[in-house]
Amino acid sequence: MTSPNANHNGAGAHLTSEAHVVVDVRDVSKSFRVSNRDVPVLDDVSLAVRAGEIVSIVGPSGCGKTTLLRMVQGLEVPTSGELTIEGRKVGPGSVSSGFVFQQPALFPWFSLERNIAFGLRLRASKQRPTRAEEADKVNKLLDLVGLTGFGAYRPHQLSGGMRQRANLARALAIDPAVLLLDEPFSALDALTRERLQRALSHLFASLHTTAILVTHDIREAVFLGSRVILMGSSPGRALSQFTVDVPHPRTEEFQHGALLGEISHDIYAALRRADAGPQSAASPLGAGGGHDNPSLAVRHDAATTTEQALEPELSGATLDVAYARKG
Amino acid sequence: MTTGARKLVGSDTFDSFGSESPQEAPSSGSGTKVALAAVRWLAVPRRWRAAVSVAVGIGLWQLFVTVMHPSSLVVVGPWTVLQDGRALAADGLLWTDLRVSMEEFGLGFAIALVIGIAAGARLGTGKRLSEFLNPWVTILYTVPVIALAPLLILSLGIGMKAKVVVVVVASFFPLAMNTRTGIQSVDPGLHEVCRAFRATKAETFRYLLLPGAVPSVLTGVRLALGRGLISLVFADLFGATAGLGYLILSSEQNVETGNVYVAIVLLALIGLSLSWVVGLLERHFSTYRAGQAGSSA
Repeated sequence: MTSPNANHNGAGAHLTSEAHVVVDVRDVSKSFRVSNRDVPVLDDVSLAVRAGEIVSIVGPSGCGKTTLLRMVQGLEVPTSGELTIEGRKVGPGSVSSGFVFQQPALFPWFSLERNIAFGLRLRASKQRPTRAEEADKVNKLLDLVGLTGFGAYRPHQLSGGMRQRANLARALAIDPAVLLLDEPFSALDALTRERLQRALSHLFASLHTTAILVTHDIREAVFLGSRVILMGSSPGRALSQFTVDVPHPRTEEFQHGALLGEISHDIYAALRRADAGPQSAASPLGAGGGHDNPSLAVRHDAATTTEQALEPELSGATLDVAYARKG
Repeated sequence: MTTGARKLVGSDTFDSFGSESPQEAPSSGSGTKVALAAVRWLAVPRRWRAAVSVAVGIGLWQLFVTVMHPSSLVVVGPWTVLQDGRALAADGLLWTDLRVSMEEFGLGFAIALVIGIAAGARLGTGKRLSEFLNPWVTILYTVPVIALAPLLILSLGIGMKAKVVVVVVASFFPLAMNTRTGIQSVDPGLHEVCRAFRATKAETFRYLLLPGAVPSVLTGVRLALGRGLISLVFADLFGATAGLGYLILSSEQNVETGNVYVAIVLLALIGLSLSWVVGLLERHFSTYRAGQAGSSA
């Protein structure tokens, strides 16, 4: 709500086309060596994430969505292609993305404050703040993620949800250009998960965050994403994308409302069509394929027959369905 | 969080169960009386259980000697041990032996602590080096290094030097092995965090590997203390002029069985107090483990 760019209905689409590209994934492929055989995990994926965008990536397990996210963080090296954040190549050295791990992965021997300040204290973060600045920043982050007063606690003294909040605060502490979230709420109970999703939406609104969220929970992807990319597997590739034009902070009403259900349903349907095979997947692509500036494009140069069959439909454009809030 | 809480709940129910059940069944036959006594016995407050156990053990020992009258060449009772101990202490001989042993042990263990942990850390972080040296560490850990004690004494003399070396050699491997294991078993998720934030090798070691290895290192310390102490006494038997092992040997040769037991009891007390210190450290660092379990749950 507070974002100047996202005040009006429909402004989100405007924002995506105007704002500069923060994350640029260009023709990235990745294969892993498994018992002397190269197994392709991602096949020629491109993705541009613009400032202020929240891109959700959903797909069945094994579609390479987490691998993609890990490559953006520099935890995995692409087999081919290029990844840049703010124009700088992702690699060793400084880091400009904050990674929220699936498991909280907090250092059990450090207090929450110390855990949140982890990235700040490292030499790698070039402008290391003074202790006073650090304390100030950590306190602000604790307030932001709803952990006020818990700074001195050790991780084992906190609930799973609180630990995941600290995990988020740690990623935010280094003022990342983009926030990368790897199934951040999958290990939590349903109630905590929904509460944290709303908290995250508020946070996106107040910080104008740029983020990539990887999840297997389609409703979560829709609730948090301004754009949802559906990926298919073997090898991983983008199938279609859905725009969710509802400004952050998104409400509980939206979370349980008909619109979210409707979009989720469509994504499920697209996923089913993809599972059923290329013939049935081909039909809807003609309808939405006319996007003039696709920020996500998929090409298939691999030689297997099914992929060749897919090529004409998917080349250069993806199914793109836009949703706007009604009323 | 969950681990600690569960532990607490468990002990609470157990304690209250033990203290309540006698009141619930007061009118019963003699068979249940025995059962009741057993329940009362278990109802001893947790902190006293170890002390009560030792006291009962010493009592049974004395009872055995008083009732069965075993040969005083082989077994003497705790009361005799106490008397002989007093006499030895009054002579000043006991203190000399104790001091010499403690100096040898303290110096040897301190050296082993430094080089054992350093070597373990190196093995834990260097994959290739570790692969080359692993068989040697395993071989030398399993081989009874104590067997070399007589040879060391032959070459280094019957004085302090050989004893210190024996303690170092005996304590080194448990320390090195457990430090290595501790570093290698650090939560891989936390390794990812270090990589994600681009921590340097030195930073990863300082913030992750070192603190992460502490519980395992303490296990190594516990094992090394036992091994070091036993080896020291063993080495004394092959040639020494003072020390607790020397006390045992000379007392055996002079058929002063009581003094043999004095030395053994003293060694037991040393072992107990060192183990108690390690226990304190383990409790201090126990949140490390609780936290690790929590983060992977």
